[in-house]
Parts: sequence; C-alpha cells; structure tokens
Amino acid sequence: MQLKSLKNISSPTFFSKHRAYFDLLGSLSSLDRLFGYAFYYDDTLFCLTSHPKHTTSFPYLVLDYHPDYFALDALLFAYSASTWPATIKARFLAQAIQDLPDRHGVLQLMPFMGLVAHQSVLSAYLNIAKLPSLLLTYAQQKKVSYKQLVQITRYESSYLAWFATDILAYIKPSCSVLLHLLESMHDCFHRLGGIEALVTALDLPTLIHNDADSETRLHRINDTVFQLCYPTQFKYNQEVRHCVKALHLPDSISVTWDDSLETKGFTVSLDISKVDDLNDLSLLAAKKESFKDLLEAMVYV
Amino acid sequence: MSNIKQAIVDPSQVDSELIKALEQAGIDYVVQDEVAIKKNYRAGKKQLVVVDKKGDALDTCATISDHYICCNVKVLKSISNCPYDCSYCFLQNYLNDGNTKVVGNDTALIEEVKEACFKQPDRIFRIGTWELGDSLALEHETGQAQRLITAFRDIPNAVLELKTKSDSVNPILNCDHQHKTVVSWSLNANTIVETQEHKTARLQERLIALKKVTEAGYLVGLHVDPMIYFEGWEADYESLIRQAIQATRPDQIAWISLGSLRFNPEMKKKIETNFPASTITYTEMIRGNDGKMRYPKPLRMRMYGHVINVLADALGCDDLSPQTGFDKPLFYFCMERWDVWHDLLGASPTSIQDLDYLFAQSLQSRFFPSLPIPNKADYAV
Ligand code: SF4
Repeated sequence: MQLKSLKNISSPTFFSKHRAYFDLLGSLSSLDRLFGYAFYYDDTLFCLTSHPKHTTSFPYLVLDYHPDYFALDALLFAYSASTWPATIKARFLAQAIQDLPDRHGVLQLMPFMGLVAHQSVLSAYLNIAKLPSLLLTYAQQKKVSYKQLVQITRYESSYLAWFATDILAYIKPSCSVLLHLLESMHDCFHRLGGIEALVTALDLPTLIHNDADSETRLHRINDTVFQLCYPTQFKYNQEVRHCVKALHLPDSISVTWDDSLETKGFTVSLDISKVDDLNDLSLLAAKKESFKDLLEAMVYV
Repeated sequence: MSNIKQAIVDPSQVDSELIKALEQAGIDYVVQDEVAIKKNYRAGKKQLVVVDKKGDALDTCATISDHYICCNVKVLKSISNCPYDCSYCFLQNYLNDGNTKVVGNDTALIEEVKEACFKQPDRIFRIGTWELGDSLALEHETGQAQRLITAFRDIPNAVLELKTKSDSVNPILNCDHQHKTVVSWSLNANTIVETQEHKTARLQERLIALKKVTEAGYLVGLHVDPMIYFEGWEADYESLIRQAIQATRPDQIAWISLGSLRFNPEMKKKIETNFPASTITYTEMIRGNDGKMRYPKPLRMRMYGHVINVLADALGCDDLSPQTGFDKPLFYFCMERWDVWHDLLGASPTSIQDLDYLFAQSLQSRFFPSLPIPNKADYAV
C-alpha cells in the first residue's frame, strides 16, 4: 500500500460507502493512535479512521488505493485486517461481495486480510458470515478460530438458527463447551429426527426456565445433553455407581473406574494416615463378593 | 468394471505386464514423468497412475495401542486409493495424494515378499494387498492380482489375501492358485451396502462372486467389518451371515473377522462433509485408548454377541474361539480389547504375536499339512 502524504485534518469526513464496514468494525476501531489514515476520492479527503475527541487537528497519512474497490483495500490496511478475528473477516467479505461488482474484486482484497485469494477460502468465509448473527457475535467474544467456525458451518442452518435463539441466548458457555454442545446436540438432532423431537427429549422449557441464572442453565443443559447423547455410557455408569454405593464403604475408601466403559475393572484406593485406618484392609477383604458383583456389572454380555 | 477411463504411466513402467492388461481393457494411457498430486481423494478415483515401486512395500498392519488386539497380518502396498466411495473409508482422511496409484513393477513387489519369507522359512506369512485400497476392484484394468496369485503359489510359507468389496473375480477364476490365495470379502448388512458403500458391488453380487471363487477352489475369508448400528441391524446382519455361509463352504473359509465402526475424531467431520446424507456418525460413540471413536463397549458387545450366535448356528459350531481347536474357520476380532474377546469367546490371545501364531496353526493344520507345525518361537510368542 502506497503512502501519498501526511495531512492535518480538523474535522474528519467519512466515505458513505464505508458506513456498513465501520458498523462491523465498531469494536475494533482503536482511538489511541498517533495518526490516522485517509484517502482522496474525487478531490475530497475522506478519513478511514476516526479522530480522537477534543482534538482540533490530527495528522492523517493519505493512502493510495485501487479505484475499483471503493478504497476498501486502504480501509483494510488502515485497520491491520490480517489481525482481525475470523468472524470480522467473514462479515467484511460478505459485505464486500454485495458492494463490489464481482467476486474477483473481493478475492483481490483477501491478501490484505492475510488470506489466500482462493475461491474455496472465500466460499468458506462467506459460509461463516451466514451463521446466525448471535452465534457469530458470541464466537467472536470467545475467540472461536477459523477452523472451528468452518466446522460449525457444516451444520444445517435450521439447526444453527434454533441453537442460537433457543439455547445460546440463555447461556454463556466457554469456547470448548460451546463447540461440544453444538456437536452433541447436532448428533442428537439427527438421531432423533429433527428439532421438535430434540426439544421434547431435552424438555427445553424446564432447562431454560427463567428462574435460573445462565450458569445453572448451562449446567442443566450439559447434564441433559450428556444423558441424551450418551445413553449407554449414562446407563452403565449409573449401574456401576449403584453397585459402588451398595458397598457402603467408609469415606477413606474410594472406587474409581473408566467412565467411557472401555477399560474393564476398577481401582480401589484406601487412605491410610493412622494405624486404625489399617482396619479398612479387612473390610475390603470382607467385601470380596460385593466387589465381584461390581466386576460382573462391567461384563456387558 | 471400475470407472477408470484413462491412465498415466511412469516411463519406467512402459514394459510392465500391467500395460498389457491396460491395453486389453481398452484403457487409454499416456506416458508421463511427473504426475501432479491430487489434494482431493475423490478427484483421483477415475484415473489410474502406474508407478514404480519405491522403498519398502511390505509392512505390518498394526494398531498403535496395546489395548486392542491386532492380527499382525502383513500388508503389501501395491495400490493406493480406490475407485469405490464408502462413507466410512479412512482414505478420505489419510491419503496425501488422491491419485489412484498401482505399482506396475510387480516383479519387484514379489522379490521383496520372497526375501522376507525366505528369511524366516518356518513362519507362515499372511500378506494382504488391501491396506490402501481394494485388492480386486481394478483387476480388469491391471491384472495385478492374477500375477500375485501365480507368484504366491510358489512361496511355500506365504498366503496372499485379496480383500475386496467388488465382484471382479472372473479374471482370477482360472489361475493356478494351489490354495495359496485367500479371496476375502468385506461384507456388511444390506442396508449399509446400499447406503454407505457407494459404487461397490451390491451384496448379492458379492455373494455370487464368493460362490464363484469357492467353486474355483480358493480359500475364502469373510470380514464383517465395520459393523454399523442402525434401526433393524439385528435382522439385517443375521441375514447377511446366513447368506454368506450359504454362498461358500465352511471348510474353505480360512478366517472370519468381526469389527465395528471406528475412526479418528477428525474423520467424523470429514464424513459429515463428504457424505452429508450419511447418518453413521450420529450414533453414540466414545474415544478409545487408541484415540479412535467407536461405539461404547456394551453396544459393541451386543452387536458382536448377536453375530457370533448367528455364525455359530450357521456354521454348526458351538464354540468359535480360535483357542479351542482348528477344526473350524479361524474367528477373530479386528482391533478389539482383550476383555471383549474374553467375555464373548471365553478366552483371548495373550498377545498380537499369539494371535498370529493361532493363524499359523489354523492354516497349517487345516490347509497346509505338509508345512512344518508352527513353533511359538518363530512368532515371538
Ligand atoms: S472399498 Fe475400502 S478402500 Fe475402497 S472406498 Fe471402500 S473402504 Fe475405502
């Protein structure tokens, strides 16, 4: 990007065709700059970055630009677009595809975002831009990566729209929990045959009931989704838990097992800190038959 | 016939036997030095690239986790990629180059096999050509299996396994195999063949082919793998087992394997993207100790238990365990846990090498009595 000159500007004017871009860059436009960026269009100087408040005159670097792109190339340069989150890049490209006469022009802008100017990459970003806006905004807050966003775009739009309005609007999951919920619920969505069946199976109204805070709701949703998505694991772990409970072991003895059910068997741990604790050893021996039952519960034929 | 319409031949392979097969099949080819890598595994399915053998082609098909027992079969990398398009195919997440490549220089392949087998003359080697593709899908175009069958006939301590989902058996029916080749089928419930195993021979076509090779005197293998869960799986798998046993003769079945759907987590996304109509990834799965996704053990055991019962009935054999005698086809699980073996068959091999040894004992006692009785030490048991 060519720098043409340095100008002091007292009252910045903005290019009307950039309005939509400024809207989506809102959160990114930092004011603590030592200088701004501007460009000339039809002999008028338009600013690309804003002017610190209460400053009468501020230095602006005037950028050159490609006449076909409405100075969007200069805008991308001014905002160090290669550092943007994938969600903003996606929204920017989606806006550009509407404003520029053809896809070729949009492809030319991609290197300013640190992207390869390739049709498949552009399509992937445009698909990301089509995600429900609530989901996109949340994904941006949680720093969901480009690769993760691409994976989200493989879900059906009806499912995503439902997830955004009926689930995400009520909870504040971390990035990993968000991705896990999206995937697990999507599996159930297919397994059960659609949203209606999923809503019924989740008993959604109870889960998102207003009397709970978002953390409680998230907890409930996670538990219910696990039960729904992993019914076999849930059922057999419950059985093992019952068997362990039936052993009536003192607190000093704990039983752990692989809750994925892959590894057969369990581990018995005994806390020994005083001589009396050693009596628990005979308790273990006395419960040999019950432990056998526990092992039997781990044979799934 | 496959969908292959043209071939690219490496200049070093123009005099290979494979070229004659290509010409006979009416496949146009060009001789070309460099072939660009195909990033998409599907893009390379319609064109054959005939290459020279590079490096070692003989390897062991082994799991990286010792929690799951593998059968220690050797694999001969003679092909890479496949004209078929199964939704669960691991190649979609494995191949760096999507070109369908076949080694033209099969003399070099056979030399490598001979060298390995002659180094350990008291050991029986099972060697398959299916690791990165289908052993017979391209037989009309390449004739490779026919040449391998003939070569294995003369290696006393090696058995060739040709595993396929095709029905391309006519070219091999008249080969002088001397029972040294096991033609095996990857079989699945009809619902799965119809919905997941795209472009492969339909189940009935495979069963007809199985009958043909049985009649041609070949040893056969049945691989019910990957078993996939769906509504009505019980009846469909039962029907598969009964039809398969009926299409062949138990005394010609060298081995029968059972395995369930498994893939690494990345594959789930690949399958959902490449096969949007497939629902196989939506069933409950857990991550096993080898990092692969598979059905939870109780479900796998239920599915295996059902097939084992039907198999036992169809074969007229109560006990399928390979550890209780060799008067039956050798039954084994592909990549399963020791306790799954134990809880379903009453015993499990003590190691991967032990299973290899059981195979050798079964082959020697059932089909090759003139070979020396296998010795544990030769299998590192
Ligand atoms: S037949 Fe085997 S190699 Fe070919 S596509 Fe199917 S799974 Fe893959």
